[in-house]
Amino acid sequence: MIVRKFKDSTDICKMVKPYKKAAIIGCGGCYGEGGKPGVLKIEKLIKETGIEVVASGVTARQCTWIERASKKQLNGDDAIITLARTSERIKEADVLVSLACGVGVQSLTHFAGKKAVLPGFDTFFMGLPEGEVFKEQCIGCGNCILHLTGGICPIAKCPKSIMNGPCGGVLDNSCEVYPENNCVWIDIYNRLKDIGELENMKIINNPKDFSIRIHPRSIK
Amino acid sequence: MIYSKLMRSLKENKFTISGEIDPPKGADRTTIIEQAEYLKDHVIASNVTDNPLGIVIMNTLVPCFIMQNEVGIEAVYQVTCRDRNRIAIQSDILGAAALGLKNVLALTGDHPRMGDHPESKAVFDLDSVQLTGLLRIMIDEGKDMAGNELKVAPKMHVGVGLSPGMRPLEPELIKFEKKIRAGAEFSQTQVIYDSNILGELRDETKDCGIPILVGIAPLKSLGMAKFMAKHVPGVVIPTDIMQRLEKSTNLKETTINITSELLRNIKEVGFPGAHIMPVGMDYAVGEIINRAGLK
Repeated sequence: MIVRKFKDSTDICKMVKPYKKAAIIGCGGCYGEGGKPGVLKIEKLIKETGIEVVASGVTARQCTWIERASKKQLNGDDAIITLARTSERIKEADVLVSLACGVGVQSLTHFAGKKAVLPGFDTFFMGLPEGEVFKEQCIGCGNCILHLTGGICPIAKCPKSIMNGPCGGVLDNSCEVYPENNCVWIDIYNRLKDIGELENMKIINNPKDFSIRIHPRSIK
Repeated sequence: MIYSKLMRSLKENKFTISGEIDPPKGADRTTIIEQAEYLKDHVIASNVTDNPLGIVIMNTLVPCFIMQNEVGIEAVYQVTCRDRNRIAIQSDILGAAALGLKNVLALTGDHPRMGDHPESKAVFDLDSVQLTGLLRIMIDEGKDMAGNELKVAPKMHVGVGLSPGMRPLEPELIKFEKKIRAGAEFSQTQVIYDSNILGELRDETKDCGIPILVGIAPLKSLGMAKFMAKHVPGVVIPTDIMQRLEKSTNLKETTINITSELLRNIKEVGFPGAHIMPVGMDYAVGEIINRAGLK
């Protein structure tokens, strides 16, 4: 899932200040308080700045709107009203605050017309929960080697993205850059040993082709 | 082909000692000369570090050149992947070869978060295994990484690091074996104070096919020893060394004695050489070697 976190409330207030009427579109997908409770929280905050909140709604996944709206042949405010189940009053808004990841926010921009679009969240990474924290799992490098590394990614989980084994900075199994984390290569080594595939660790992984990572990437 | 004094000494099975100097934090060249002068008559070559821990100091190439040309100590040019992508590294290697450098130590490098510019962008386009392979292409095939011909190929020997105290050791040994397969010709290790680790390293690497120079560094104080034991990955300091430092009435003497005993032990155990990191005790390197009976 995409891991997101509320922006600092002072920053949100500063962002909405120039506008008069706001609408809030929550996104309940992935991780983060993008659903109903998050929408209520941000609504309260915006109202405190003296700006009217004319409409709000929640969608399952804001990132799927372009596809869904096109199937239903919906555009602009009509798409937002249908997909986020907001009231018609959204038409009065001069600003839309999106509680989605960066992808969702930009999906909303497609339907915003003359309205400004603001992010309510900072977007961090593709990750999984580990106890109470979320940890990055995949950087979308476009050249997966998980079949060689016991299903654990050194590109995302080693601060140096080393592809060929641990560095000299392993202290009590921990990574010296993030001591709260295990060294991913020690995890990979243990996992490969458990599943009888330690031979895979002996394969020399060649340098990555970064030309397939030049922003913005497209795929057909 | 042998290009360097370091490699020749190793090939001739002479016990080979390399040293290390740190480039200055500043534009001053005198400290380079000072450090090198202390090492001059005692080591066959000396490493020059590449912004260790990601702390900004002078560009490695410059002390390498000054030390080699003005003092006469052959340089081991340390190259890390932290700050340069494959274009910059290849460019620097060509420059290093043109300056007459004959040895390069291929390292992944510390993460910048460990140093004095933790906000900087880490590069790590390559890792140490991949860098070793790249150097082989340049040296042996006379080509760059893209397969383009180099008008004159660099002629250098490629060394790699090894951390013998890492636990578990097997993943480190797997990586070390990959470095050898990628084309490493010698290795210099992290410091070893513990004779069990030294013995284990000898047993585990006796058939590895490349000479290993075991790392040592003088323990200047009990505080330094305690710090290293606690915070430096892979460093184990035995109790008897700790006790000698604790009870010492002449710390400098004790430190020199401990280090020379470690050095002698490296030879007695059967390693072909040692790599001395003086950590500020450059002036004592000659005496350490003398007392070890290795002059």
